[in-house]
Amino acid sequence: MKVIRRRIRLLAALFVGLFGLTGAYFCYSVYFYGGRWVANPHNPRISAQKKAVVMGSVTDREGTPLAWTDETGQRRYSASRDTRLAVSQVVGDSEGKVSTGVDTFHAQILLGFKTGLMERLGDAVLGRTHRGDDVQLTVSERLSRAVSSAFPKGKRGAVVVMNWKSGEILSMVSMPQFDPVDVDSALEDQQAGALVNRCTQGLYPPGSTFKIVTLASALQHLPDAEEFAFDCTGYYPVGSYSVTEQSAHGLMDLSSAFTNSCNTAFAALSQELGYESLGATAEAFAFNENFLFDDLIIYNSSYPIDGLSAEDLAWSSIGQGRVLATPLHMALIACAVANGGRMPEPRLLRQVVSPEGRVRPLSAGHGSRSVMTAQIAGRVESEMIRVVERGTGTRAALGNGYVVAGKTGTAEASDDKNVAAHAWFVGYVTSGRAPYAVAVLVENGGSGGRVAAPIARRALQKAIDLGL
Amino acid sequence: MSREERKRSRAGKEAAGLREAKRADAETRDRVRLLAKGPGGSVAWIAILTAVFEAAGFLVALQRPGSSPSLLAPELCLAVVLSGLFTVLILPRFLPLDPLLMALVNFLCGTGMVVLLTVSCERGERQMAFYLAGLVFMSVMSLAAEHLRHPRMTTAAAMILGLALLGAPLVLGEWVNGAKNWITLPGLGSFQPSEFVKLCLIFVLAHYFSAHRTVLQMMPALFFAAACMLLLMLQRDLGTALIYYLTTLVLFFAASGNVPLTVLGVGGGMGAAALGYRMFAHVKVRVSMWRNPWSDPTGGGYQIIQALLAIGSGGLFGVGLGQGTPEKIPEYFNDFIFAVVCEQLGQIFGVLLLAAYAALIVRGMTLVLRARRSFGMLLGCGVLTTLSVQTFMIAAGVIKLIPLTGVTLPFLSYGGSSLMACMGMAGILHGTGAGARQALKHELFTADGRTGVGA
Repeated sequence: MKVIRRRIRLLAALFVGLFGLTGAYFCYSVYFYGGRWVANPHNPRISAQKKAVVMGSVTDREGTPLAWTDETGQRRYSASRDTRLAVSQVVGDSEGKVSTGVDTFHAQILLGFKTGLMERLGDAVLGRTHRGDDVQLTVSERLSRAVSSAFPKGKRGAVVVMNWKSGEILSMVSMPQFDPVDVDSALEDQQAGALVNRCTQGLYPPGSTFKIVTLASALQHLPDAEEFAFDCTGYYPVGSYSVTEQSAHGLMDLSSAFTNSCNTAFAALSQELGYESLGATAEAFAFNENFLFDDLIIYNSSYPIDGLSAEDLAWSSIGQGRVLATPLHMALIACAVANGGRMPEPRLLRQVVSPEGRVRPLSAGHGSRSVMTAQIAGRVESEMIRVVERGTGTRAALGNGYVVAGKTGTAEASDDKNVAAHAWFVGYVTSGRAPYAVAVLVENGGSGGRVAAPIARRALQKAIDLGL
Repeated sequence: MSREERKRSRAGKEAAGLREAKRADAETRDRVRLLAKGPGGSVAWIAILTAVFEAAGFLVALQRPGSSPSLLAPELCLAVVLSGLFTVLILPRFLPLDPLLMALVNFLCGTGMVVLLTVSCERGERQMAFYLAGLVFMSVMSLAAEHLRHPRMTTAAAMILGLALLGAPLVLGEWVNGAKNWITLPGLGSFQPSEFVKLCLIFVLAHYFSAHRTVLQMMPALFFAAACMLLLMLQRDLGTALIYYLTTLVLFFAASGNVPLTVLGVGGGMGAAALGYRMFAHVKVRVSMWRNPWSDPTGGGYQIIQALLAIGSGGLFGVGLGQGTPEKIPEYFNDFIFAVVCEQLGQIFGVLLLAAYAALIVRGMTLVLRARRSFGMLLGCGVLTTLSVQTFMIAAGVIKLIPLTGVTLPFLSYGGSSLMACMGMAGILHGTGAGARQALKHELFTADGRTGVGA
C-alpha cells in the first residue's frame, strides 16, 4: 500500500510537471511569437478592428505623412506618386497583401491593441471614437525618393541605407515598386513581384561581398593570415572543379586579394580555413540564424554547414554555391565592421505616439551583438577602405573628406552564361558624423563595381546632404 | 565511545525524536482536519471569488447586444451561482465532499459556463443545465465511491455495459467530422458514450489490479481495455483511445510497479502510434500541421492558426468578455475553448487556468492517498490520470506543443457527456478521500477513548 502511495505521488508529480511544461511553453510562444500571430494576414480580427477603430497614421522620420485614415475610414497615402512608390513596400497596403508592410505588421500598434485598459475605459465613457497610435518611422522619404531615381530603370533589386551606430533604417527601396492606391495592377503582374520587399525577403548569393566574412574568419582562425601569399593564375583547381577568375592577378597577399576581389586566392584561403572555422564565423555573423527582430520580418540567410565538399567550401567562401543573404543582412554586416565588430539590431520605428500625444515606450529590442573583435573589424575596415580607394569599388568613393569603405560583388546568378550576374555593393561612410551604411543589389546588373557602386555613392551622398 | 561520539549520538537521537514528534504532530493535525467538516477560510474565498466572477460574467453575457437568452436564463444563472456556493460551503457537512476540490471544480466549470454563455446563449444554457445535473451525479458518485463494498459483482456488469455503450455509436451513430463516436438521444441531444465508458474502464482496471497480483489474473481487465480501444479506433476516435491506453498503462504501473512491463507498454504504444501514422491519413495531416501549420493556412492548418491568432490577439488581459471573434475557430466551443478563454480573458487567465488544473490534480492526489484500500487508491489514481492526460493533450495541442487530438477540455468544454463524466470523476475523487473519515473516526475515538498519535 505504501508502495502504491509512493507511486501515486510520483505520478502526480509527473502530471503537475506536464502542466508546468505546458504553461512554460505557452508563456514562451506567446512572448516571442504573440505579436507575429496578431499581425498575421490571416487574422480576421485586424480587419474587424479596422471597422471599430480609426487606424493611426504612419509618418517618415521628418514627419512627412506616408499613410493615414480619413473621416470616411479610407486609408490614404501621400499625394505625391514618387513618394508613394519610394516607400511602397515599407508602408505596405491596406489589405494585408504586403504582409511585411508597416500597415499590416504593426497593425497591433496602429489599431490600438496596445492601448491600456484605462484609456479604453476613458474612450468608452466619453464616447470618443477609439483611435490607434501614430507611428513615426526611421525611414526618410526624401532619401528613398533619391535612391529610387538613382536606380537603373527597368532593373530589379534592392537598396538599404542604415545608420550603423543606431541600427535605424534610413531607406529600404525595393524595385520594382507598386502604388498602394492601385494594388490590383501590381497583383496582376505576379512575375514582377512588386509586393515583395527584396531588402528583407529577397535571398541572393552575396558573391564577393561575402569575402568580408571570409576575411574576418581568416584573421580570427589563421594565426599566419598576414603571411598569406598566393599566385593567382586565373584558375584554382579544387576537387573536380576549378574556381576561375577573369584574369590572372599574379602574386597576391591577403590585402591585395581582398582589394582586387581575387576568387582563386580566397578559394585557396578557404581550404586552409576549413569547414568548421568558416562555418563558425558565418554563424557568428548571423547566417542560419532565425531572426526575430521586433520591428520587422527578415528572411533568414543561409550558409551551408553540412555535407560540404572541398569545392562547396571554396565556392561558399566567395559567396556562391548555397550561400544566400538578404540585402538588409549584408547592410548589417557592413554596420558590424563600422561599429567595431558589433552588429546592431535594425530598427524601423522611431516613435509611437498615442492619440492624446503621449509618447509610448518602444520595445527595448535585443541590442547589438558582437560578431568579431574590434581589432579584426579595424583590420577589415582598412581593407574595405582600400577597395574603394584603389580596388574594385572606386566608383563608390565620395570625396569632400568622407572616406567610404566597401566591398563589391558580382554574384553569378545562373549556370547560363547569357544571364548576367547580380551586382552588389556593401559599404559605409567611416566618419562618425555621417554614420551611414549601404547595401545595393541590382538583379542581373552585371559588375558590382560598375553598376552597384555608383548607386551606393549617390545614396550615401544624399544621406550626407540631408543630414539624417 | 568517546565523549565526542556520545555527544553526537545523543544529538542524533534528539533530532530523530524531534522529527518523530513533528511527524506525529502533522499526522494528528491532518487527522483532525479530516474530521472537521466545513471548508477552511481560504477555500471559502475561492468559492466567493468564483461566485462573483460567475455573476459578473453572466451579467455581461446576458446584457450583450446580440445575445438571445431564453426565458429560463436568469434563473439558471442564479441557480448556478448559488449551487456553487452551496456545494462548497454547506454541502460538505452532509455529503462526502472535499471543499477545496469542489471549489476548484466550480471555478473551472464556472469559467466554461461564462465563456460559453457569452459566445452562444443556447450553448451556455445547456452547459449550465448539465452542470447542475452534474453536481447531482457527482454527489451520487462520491457516495458510491465511499461506500462501495462488493466490486466483484459490479465489475462484470461494468464490462458488459462499457462494451455495449462503446459499440452503440458504430451501430446507431453517424460519421461526424471524420469520427463516429456520437449517438443522438431523443430529447437530450448528442451523447458521447466514450466519455462515460472511461468511468467503467477505471472501475474495472482498479478492481482487477488491486485484487490480483499476477499479470495472468489481470488479463480480463486488459482484454476489456483492448476491446474498448479497438472499438474506439473503429470509430476513428484516436485521441480517446490514446487516453484509454495511457490510463491502463499508468494504473498498471501504479498497481504492480513492474517497470520492465511498463516500459514495454510505452514502447508498444509508440509503435502503435507510428503504425497509426502510417495507416491513417488524417494523422499524417495532423502531424504535419503541428510542425508547420502556416504551410496550409486555409486548409488543414486553419484551425490551429486561428487558435494561435486568437490567443495572440487576446494579449495579457484579453479583449474582454463578448469581444473578439472566437467563432472563427472551428470547434471553438468544445475542443478549442482554451483559445477562446485566452482571447477574451487574457493569457494571464490562461496560465491561471492551467494552474487551477494542476491544483486540482494535487488536491486529488491528497484525497486519493487517504484511501484505506488499494482499490480505492487505484480508482482515484485512474481518475487523476485520465483528467491529467486529457487536459494536457488538448491544452498542449491548442498551443501547438503537440499535434492536435480530438478530445475535449475537462470541465470547460461544451458537451453534456464530457461535463457529466468529468463531474462523475471528480465525485470519485471526493469519495475516495472521504472514505477514510469513517475509519478514522472509529480508530481515533474507540480505542481506549484516546485521541492522538497511534502506535
